[in-house]
Amino acid sequence: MRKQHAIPPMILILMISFAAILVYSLLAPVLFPVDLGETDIMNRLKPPAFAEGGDEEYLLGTDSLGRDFFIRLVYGTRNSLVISLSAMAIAVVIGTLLGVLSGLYEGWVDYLISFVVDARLSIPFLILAIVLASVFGSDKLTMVMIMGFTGWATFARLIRGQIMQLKKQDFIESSRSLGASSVRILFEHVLRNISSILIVEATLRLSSFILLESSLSFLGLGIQPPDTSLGVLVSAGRDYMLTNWWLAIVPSLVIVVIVLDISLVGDWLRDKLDPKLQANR
Amino acid sequence: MLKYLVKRLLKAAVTIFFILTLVFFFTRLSGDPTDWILPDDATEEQRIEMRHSLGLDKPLIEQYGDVLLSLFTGDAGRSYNYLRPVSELYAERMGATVRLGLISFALAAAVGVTLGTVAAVKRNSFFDRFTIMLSVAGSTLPNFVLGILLVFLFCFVLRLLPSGGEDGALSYIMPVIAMAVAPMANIARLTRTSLLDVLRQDYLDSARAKGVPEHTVLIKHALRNALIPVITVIGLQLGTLVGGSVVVETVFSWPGIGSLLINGAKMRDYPIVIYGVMLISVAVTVMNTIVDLSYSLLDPRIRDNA
Repeated sequence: MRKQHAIPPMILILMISFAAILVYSLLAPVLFPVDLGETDIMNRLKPPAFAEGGDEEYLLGTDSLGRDFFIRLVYGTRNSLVISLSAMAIAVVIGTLLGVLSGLYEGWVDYLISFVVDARLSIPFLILAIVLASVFGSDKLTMVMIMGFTGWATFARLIRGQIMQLKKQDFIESSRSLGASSVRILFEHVLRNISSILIVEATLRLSSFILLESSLSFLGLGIQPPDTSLGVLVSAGRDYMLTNWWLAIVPSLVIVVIVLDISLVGDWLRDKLDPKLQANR
Repeated sequence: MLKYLVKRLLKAAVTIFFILTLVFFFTRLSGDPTDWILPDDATEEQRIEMRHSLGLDKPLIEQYGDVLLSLFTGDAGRSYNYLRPVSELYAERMGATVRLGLISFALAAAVGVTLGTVAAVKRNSFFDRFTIMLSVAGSTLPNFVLGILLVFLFCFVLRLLPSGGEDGALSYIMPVIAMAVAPMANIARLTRTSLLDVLRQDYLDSARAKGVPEHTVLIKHALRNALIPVITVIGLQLGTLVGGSVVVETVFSWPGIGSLLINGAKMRDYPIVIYGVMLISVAVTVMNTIVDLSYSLLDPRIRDNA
């Protein structure tokens, strides 16, 4: 039977909308070259352009310090996405490296790495990040590092399991008996075989990195004003919920859209990769 | 079995020790706390006095020993900001967190298992698809976003519920929903998958052939087996719940340990941070160990492999 490669239209829409959000927010400094710290107290808390009393100039109105809310929203989305994606890249690299080491060398290396993975997983992701943020502060680079160093453990565990399974397979043995070096086996067979699982896991986990970034910023331990992120915007908007509800609700909905986008695509990828799961659908 | 038990408990103890050590030395990396507790123009004498009263003038190794022992003595030093024993501060606020956590936990388990079961039995129905969507959404939505949306709807638009604080039964509704949705979604998804696996088995048909009524087949024969892996996941949701409580308590100004920990972290009040992390990691590790042990009781193969 011919393999189906068609992408369902629903998934295609989700992928395109995520790509659009990503590209648009990445272009923020080009589209809106403004200073995020610049305030305009005379124009504070203006309603959106399409609402009563709105000003054409401000599409989504202004925040409590008179800054254009739409521009802040785009910059906030940009920060949240860039930080989460970079943190995830770090987590994937560390996790894969330790997972491969742990799976290839049994004995004390495996024991040590598995112990650290277990210990790391016995404190909730967010709690550890909170502790680290309180010690090391929270400029963007530090945040990326903190999130990367808290998020690698699940990747390590997954890769270790995969490597352990692969090691038992015949084709690795055949390759070795044909004289392939360990490095060649690692890159040609092992990494190629785990890459699709890694991509699925990374997609599924990306939403938890976005969640972590926005939660930290929401709690005041992440991005600091005047710079902004989706969590910062929600947190700042909370105080004006009675009069200017969109200041908290719109960034909340942006988070909802991004996170749902990613996890639905991740779910679809996982089902596609694992036919056993599909049977349960 | 005894050997396995000892091994498992030893591992739990080493894990907690490792976490505490790490957190203790991390917090010491950020320098002298008197720099941010006292005003900039404080004299050197005031600093020395402050250090002495907080026990910061003791040798590092002695302070470290105190922290480890505080697990048993409960004496974890005084908070930098409140200048009161940390254990007391946590004891005062523990009740609110435990109440909120237990209610959310019970709700998540009950609703999750029910949704998962109905979805599996009515596979591919509208209800099934709805549950799948709900569980994807529920397990990925940040709980503070959910909390904010709830506050907006029930507090500002409908004006039905109080926006925060612990004050009577009504004040529990929104925090409980915000906390319960993520674990509930995970439990529903797993119950459904696990039950679908069991529903395919032949022994159910043989039960039906003997004339056992359908609902008895479902509940006594199928669900009982399907729930074994679900119980594990229910246990493991505790970590998610604890992490979530920190955020939810902040959203709803809940007077629990989560908001204490956050304020401690913001003000770099390290005795509060260390004690909070200790409580949380002990709770989660104990729960994980119980889950492991109960699982090995249910399935001897796990015990033999360990």
